[in-house]
Amino acid sequence: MDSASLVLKDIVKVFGSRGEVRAVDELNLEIGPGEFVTLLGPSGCGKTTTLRLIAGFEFPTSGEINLNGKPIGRLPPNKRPMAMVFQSYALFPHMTVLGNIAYGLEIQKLNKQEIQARAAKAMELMGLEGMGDRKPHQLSGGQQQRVALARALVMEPQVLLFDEPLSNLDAKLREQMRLEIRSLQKRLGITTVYVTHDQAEAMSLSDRIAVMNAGRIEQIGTPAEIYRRPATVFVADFIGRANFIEGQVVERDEAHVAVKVFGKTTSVPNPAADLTPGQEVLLVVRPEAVRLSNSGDGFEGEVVHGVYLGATMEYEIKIQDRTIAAVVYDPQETDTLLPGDRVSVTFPGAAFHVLPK
Amino acid sequence: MRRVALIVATMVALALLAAALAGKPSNTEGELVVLAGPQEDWAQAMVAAFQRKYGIKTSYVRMSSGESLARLRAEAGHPSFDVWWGGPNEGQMAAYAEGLIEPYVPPRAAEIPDELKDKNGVWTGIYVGALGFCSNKELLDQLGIKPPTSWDDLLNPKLKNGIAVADPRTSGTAYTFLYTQVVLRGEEAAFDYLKKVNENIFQYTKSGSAPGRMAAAGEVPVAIIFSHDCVKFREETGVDLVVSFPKEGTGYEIGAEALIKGARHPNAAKLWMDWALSPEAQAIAATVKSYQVPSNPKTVVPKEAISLDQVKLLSYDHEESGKLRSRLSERFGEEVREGASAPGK
Amino acid sequence: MRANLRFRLGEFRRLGQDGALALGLLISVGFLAIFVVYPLYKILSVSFGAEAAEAWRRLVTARGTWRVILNTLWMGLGVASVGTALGFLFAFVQVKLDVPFKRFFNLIGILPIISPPFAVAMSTIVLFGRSGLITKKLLGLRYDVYGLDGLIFVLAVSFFPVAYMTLLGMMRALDPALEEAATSLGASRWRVFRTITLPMLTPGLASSFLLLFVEAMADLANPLLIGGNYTVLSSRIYLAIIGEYDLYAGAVLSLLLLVPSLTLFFLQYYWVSRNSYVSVTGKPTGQASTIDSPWVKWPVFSLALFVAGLVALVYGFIFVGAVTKVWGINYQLTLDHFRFVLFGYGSAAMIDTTLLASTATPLAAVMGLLIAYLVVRRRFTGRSLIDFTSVLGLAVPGTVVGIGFILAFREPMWSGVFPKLTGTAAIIVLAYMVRSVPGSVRSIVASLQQIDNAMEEASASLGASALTTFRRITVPLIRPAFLAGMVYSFSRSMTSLSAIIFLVTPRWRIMTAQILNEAETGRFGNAAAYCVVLIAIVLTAIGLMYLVVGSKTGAERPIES
Repeated sequence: MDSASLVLKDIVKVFGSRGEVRAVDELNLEIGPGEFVTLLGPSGCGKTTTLRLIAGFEFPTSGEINLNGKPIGRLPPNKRPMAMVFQSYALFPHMTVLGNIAYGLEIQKLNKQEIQARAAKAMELMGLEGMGDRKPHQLSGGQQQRVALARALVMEPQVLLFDEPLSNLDAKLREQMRLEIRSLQKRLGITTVYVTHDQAEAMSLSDRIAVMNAGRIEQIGTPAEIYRRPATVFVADFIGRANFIEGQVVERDEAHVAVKVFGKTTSVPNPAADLTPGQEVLLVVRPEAVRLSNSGDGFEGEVVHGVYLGATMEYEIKIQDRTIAAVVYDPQETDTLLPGDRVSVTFPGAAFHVLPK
Repeated sequence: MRRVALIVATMVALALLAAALAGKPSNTEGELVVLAGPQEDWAQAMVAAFQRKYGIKTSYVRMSSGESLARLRAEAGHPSFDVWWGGPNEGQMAAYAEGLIEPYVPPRAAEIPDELKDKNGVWTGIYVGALGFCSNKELLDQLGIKPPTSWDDLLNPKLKNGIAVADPRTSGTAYTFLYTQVVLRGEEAAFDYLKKVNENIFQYTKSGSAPGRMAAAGEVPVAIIFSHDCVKFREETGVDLVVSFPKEGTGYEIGAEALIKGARHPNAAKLWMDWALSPEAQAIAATVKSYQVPSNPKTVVPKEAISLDQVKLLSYDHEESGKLRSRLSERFGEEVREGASAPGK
Repeated sequence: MRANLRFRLGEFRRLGQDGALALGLLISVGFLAIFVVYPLYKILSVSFGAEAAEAWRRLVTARGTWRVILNTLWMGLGVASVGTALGFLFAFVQVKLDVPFKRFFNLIGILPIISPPFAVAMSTIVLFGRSGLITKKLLGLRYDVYGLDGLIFVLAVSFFPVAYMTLLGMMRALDPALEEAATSLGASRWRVFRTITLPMLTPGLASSFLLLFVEAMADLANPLLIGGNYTVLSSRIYLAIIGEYDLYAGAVLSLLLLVPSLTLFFLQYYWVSRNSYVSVTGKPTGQASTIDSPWVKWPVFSLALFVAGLVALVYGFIFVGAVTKVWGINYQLTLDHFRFVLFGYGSAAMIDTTLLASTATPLAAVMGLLIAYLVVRRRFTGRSLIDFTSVLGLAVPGTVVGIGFILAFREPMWSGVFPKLTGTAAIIVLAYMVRSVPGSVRSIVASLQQIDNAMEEASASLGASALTTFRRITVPLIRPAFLAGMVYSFSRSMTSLSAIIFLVTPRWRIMTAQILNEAETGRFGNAAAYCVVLIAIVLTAIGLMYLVVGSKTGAERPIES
């Protein structure tokens, strides 16, 4: 299968006859062949619109979309070599499973044997053998999902598009399908664009994630980059959980920046942004990076609240007049802290990530 | 699914084809369209007989006199009808006055008495009928009154909600009723009388003979209709309906036929007009229980037909009555039916 | 401003990309513009033209006109109230009571839809009139059934199925969880009904009320036959055109009838049907609970049984009228009336009407499909205008449609390219279409709205053109609605009177006009026979359509046992 490269350049999409709704605002995105990119964001951020622009169900108000260098922005969806898996699966209820899968091939006017062969292969790939004669309403949710996927894959598309395909499944099934989709995609090597609001999904599936907000991409990067070095407050807050602590830049050099936080000055390595002394900043600390002990080092904190979740223990700790969240893994009975307990809070060197305020 | 699509597509195609063909009016001679005043069954029998005898494809539409006039007016210049057969001659005269009739004297008109045809050939009479009262004997007995023999008998308070007659605006029969009063009393007094009678009227129907059904059904004791229609209802239903006439004198209608100006099939129309005056054609009426008195004296008169010798027929100028029809009907509509505030209505 | 224009043009360009779609748009817009909007425009322009001034003066100053208007409104009010109440009664029995004879009640609830005009009126006169079988012979009363009371009875019986079906659907869709929640909070059954059930049904009740009001005002057949001296606007218009051939008076009166009709119709359309409170999630969570209290159940059941019996009697009696010598007077059995209809001159009307209705039906169904598809699935400037116009054919009273057609098409237009249509079969077919397309559109729109848009997008993403998608995905799924549209079109056309009464010609006899002729010259027997034959034709055609078009989409789930 040829996989394609997809480039979105300065895409703007505006709705309403007077341009009231700016759904996609100067979006730029480059996706390489065989890459799995997820558009992640809250509802209304424009990720679905962007996907639909790629698919051809909307045309951009301005900007270009290029597939392998060729502009396709104005091509109708049925002429784009892409296939989409919908949130509701959109299986044709009046056709059998086989009918659904063969549909696109019939449109291409392939001969009967070829259609049979390819459909059979797709069904085998998705574990649907023997179900060819069933109607969609006779299938479980998971099976319907697979049919939707098979229907898209059988087209051997250059780009595979997913619109929140797992949101209708229960948690366990979702996890299972995630793995399957990822392994399938890796095996077939099709360029894939995936839309979801579920970060766990995005993190587990993608080569790169584009975090979107209000029609713009706030940050594109690998899951690790997004998580460890969020570029904006929004990204930091959206991915995982984050504590934001106010601080002030004291001084900076090439490899470090010294920041005054909670009254003490701490050194943070590899600062990303341009920071000037005296600048107000926010320090992002993930709850799991917060170290609690009774050693007496670090900052003095008081436990406000603790929740036992089995694998973790989540605390709310008050330091000076700020409350931060902390997570302890594999909590032991003897370690359990109770509300009102005094505790020492330390932040290992790499725990902080500095963002301008 | 393809099969269904094919069937629907065929239906649509056929539909369009039919519509296209149907739109074209036929212009061939060898056809005839009759505007018929009398009841459907008589018209139907006449049309069937004519078609049988001459092999000319004939169709008809039955309309009451007012409607017919309205229709001809609307189609002036491109009439869809060829001959206006039946209905009181006021209609044909009014139509002639508006330039919708072409005078024609069929050869057989020579057999028709002079008072039953127009001297200028505008119309030729085919039957005569006298306006009278048609009473349901059983209801009259219940009310303790005798069948009316005077126009003033209609003002009897015992007849409250007891009289049915048609509306002169749509019915020639009712217009005869109206005009008779004008002849007897003069226009103003006539309208006073009509307003008084209005108090006793149960219903004004659209067609002239419908009041007869109401009398036969026992819904009203007295109906004002042509006597031949009363006889017809009596024969058909077996109900005891009594025919009576006002002693002051009553109006009568001359059912007439006329050639419509601009008719598409004038030759067939003329053939019809001549044939309709023949004794054999006029005898068809009796076979469908139409008991008007036929205009051709040679026609055998059915015994059920009311002999008009004992009836005082008011002679008046039918041409005059025809001219006044629109104005008087309109006045009736405004003053007697809608304008006058009738208590208890 | 320029960007706005470019945006709108872009929408059209995208539509135009699809040749078939563009053609469809052209045809639908053409049809609506020429045969719905233009005749209405002619009525307006003639009414406000100089020649109509005299008619205005005459009509506005005549006290009779205002009385007629008042009569019309009273009648509408009466019919709307009684009809809605009847519809509610029947729906209530179907959904909320566990009683026998439900199928019978359901049949009665939908029977009047295919009933020909005059049938109920004639039966009512013979049963309940001054010499009525029930009133006079059984109860010894001389009851004047002509007039407002007779009209309300007949019209309520004829139209209550509209209310019944609307309310039935609503009551079935009510989420029982809401009533259960109220009960668990301590509300008595009566309180639940009063404060939860009734308010949620308000849109249905209001919608039925308004619709029935409009239908009653537009009806012509019944006021002519059983109205007696109670004149309403439709019979007044009839008198003006048929009796006086005063097109100007007709146009003016049509305007007077149009205003309340359109207002009420659009009140119903835009306000009521858009504010549906069925439930928040839209998914009922179970079966509606039935009311078991015998104090409620049996009285209501008895009432419903009485009403149903009455309606069945009225309809059944038509058959009696068709086979007896003189209906109501002479009960000897005879086949003369049927002979007249089937073999006599009456047969021409039977054949012609069926032919014309059969021509109009597939055309109207396809037009309805086109318009519905464009309105639901495509975005473009003027879409809501097309939506609005497509229902106009129904909102406008039939008599007004007829007059509009006469005014618009009595002369050739565009120097002979568009021919004169009055007097042709085409104009009758078009009148039928104008009256049936709205029903078809509504039915298919409802169906399309239920089809997930994603399915058509999926089809496109798999490479199908708009036409292929339409053909292979959309059409099969809306088949039941398409069939319903066809059934509706055919019945409506066959039983239509007010729209075509002014368009009848000697070459094309229409059954309903014939029935009018027979009924109002008092030949009830023939009229009854016509009615029976008409019902038979409609039922046969419906059966055929079910067979040919099929009522299944292929996606039906079998009922879980």
